[in-house]
Amino acid sequence: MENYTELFLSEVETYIKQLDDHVIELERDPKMKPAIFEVFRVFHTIKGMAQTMGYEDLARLSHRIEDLLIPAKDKGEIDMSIVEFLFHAIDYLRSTLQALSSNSEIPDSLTIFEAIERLEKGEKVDLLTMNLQITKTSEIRIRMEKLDKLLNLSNELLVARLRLERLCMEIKDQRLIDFRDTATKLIESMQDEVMRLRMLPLSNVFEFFPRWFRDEAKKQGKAVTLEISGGDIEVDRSIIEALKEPLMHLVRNSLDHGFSKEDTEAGERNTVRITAAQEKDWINISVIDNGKGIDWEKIRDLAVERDLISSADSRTLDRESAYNILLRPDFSTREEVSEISGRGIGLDIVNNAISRLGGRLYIFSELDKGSQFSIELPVSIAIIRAMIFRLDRQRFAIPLSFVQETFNLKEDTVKTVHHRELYKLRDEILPMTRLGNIIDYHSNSKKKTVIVVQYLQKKRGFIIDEIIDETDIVTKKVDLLLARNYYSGCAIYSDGLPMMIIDPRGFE
Amino acid sequence: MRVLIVDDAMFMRRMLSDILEKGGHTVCGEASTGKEAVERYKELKPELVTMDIIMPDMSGIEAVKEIKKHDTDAKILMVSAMGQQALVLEAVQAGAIDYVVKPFQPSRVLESIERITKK
Repeated sequence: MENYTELFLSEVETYIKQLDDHVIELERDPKMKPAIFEVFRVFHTIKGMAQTMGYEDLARLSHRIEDLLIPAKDKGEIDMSIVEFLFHAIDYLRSTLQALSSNSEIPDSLTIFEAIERLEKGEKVDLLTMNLQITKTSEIRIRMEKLDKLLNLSNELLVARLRLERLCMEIKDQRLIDFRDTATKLIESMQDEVMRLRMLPLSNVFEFFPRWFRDEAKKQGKAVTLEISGGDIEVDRSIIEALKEPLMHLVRNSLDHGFSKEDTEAGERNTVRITAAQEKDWINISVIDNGKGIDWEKIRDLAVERDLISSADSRTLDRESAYNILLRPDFSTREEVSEISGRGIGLDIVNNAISRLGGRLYIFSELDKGSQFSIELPVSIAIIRAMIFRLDRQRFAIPLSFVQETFNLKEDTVKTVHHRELYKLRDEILPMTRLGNIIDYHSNSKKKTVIVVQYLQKKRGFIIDEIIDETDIVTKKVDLLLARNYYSGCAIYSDGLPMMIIDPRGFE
Repeated sequence: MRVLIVDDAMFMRRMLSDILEKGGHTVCGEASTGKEAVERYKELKPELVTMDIIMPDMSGIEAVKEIKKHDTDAKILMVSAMGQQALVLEAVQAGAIDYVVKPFQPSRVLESIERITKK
């Protein structure tokens, strides 16, 4: 029977997700017949499976819930007290499943049976005071570790392949070249497979939210609807796992600060939306609300008051930079900030979590219209296509997803206007950045090349010495000593030497 | 015997399939809804169908009726959870040949199939 346990657990887990969705539907519309039938059917199916596995208590519970649902199924309408009970029953089911999978003690089901009995008699049941035993544990599956090991090995293989490539260029032996071609094909397809194994649709993290949001909104007595889109976009598993906390934070922020209880009573359509979209190797996940918005001038004034910025600086501070003050740990941990500016608690924590994933957090807001918190993340954290370039004798990499075009530069074509260097690229004025000056790699090279990068609707020309290569690189996290905003990590080039990966967004 | 397994739970399909294969039968296909069962039946022409009752989009009973309409000789074994005697009866009236109740003993399933074979 042990062979079936895993299948049983994973299948019931998917049923729990379905139940959550259907019961939320029923809460909105208790006359939704198909949803009533589905809830009934799922409990029925769980009953059959639990009986077969010998989980008597779970089978009996599912059977009782099935009975409880029969009148609703026949009538085509479900009583709200039963809907409320179902939420608790699903939680109980979830904790039972967790107990079964970790071989720990199954939560006591006496109160839940008692609740069913009372509901059947038409009595009022206060589920919160009945204190149903529900434990919540995070789950870690061992398979992920094995997958990581596999990914590490296949990354090593990629480095080996790049060395082989190098060797071919040096030796130029046809047999070696043939072997390289075969090995490259094999390694690439293996790499793809391993990466695909690690990819999961975002719905894996999104599906947690409808139910959680419903509970949170109810707790605060606010009528706010959560809408979710883009759950089918696939990202690396590690991103899925690390995304839940920051997203919860942002969604909760929107609910807490975007809407007051009184506002939501006015009957307007109040929504928090979680959206996801993919552009090349990047995904953008946004939490958008149509609530109160953030008063950036108040943030600016508070920052001056607290000596976080000088009043001279505050005069030139624009809206975008003011929002970025929210991300500072010395600003955002202060309780009163939240009440005055409408936002702030723990945003630095969110920002750090996103940075660790190689992503960025952006804030847009308009007073009385709403706020948008956007997380921009790489689809895959391990391997990216990059352009390799040289500054003096040091090599650097820049993800190809940022690169628009490149060209050789004639120094006299760069114009200086108000201390800013500009270049006329076709009919566009391109602000130029001498990368060497910023990251301290000065070179006397006469030859200069421009890499035109685009990010966040901004275009810049990075002046560097020379482009060397375009290749796949395996990204590694940067040591804290080297940590700068404009380095997203480091990588090993095919000759075995390390290079830093530039993240142009870090120059802002 | 070539058997088509119909059940909305993957878990139940796997278990039945293991039992049948150990008993020397071949599982020629699986279906997870009533509609799918009818389609798969027409396509695979199995010698036997094991049929669950409560499923999405079309119930097992409806599926029995549909299959029987298509092939009056179809042999269908109902596999149902406890507490559905009335539905099992309805299924038998619709043309199902026998039934087993979950949780089932592997021997009970195989015996039932043997009986069907002899009929």
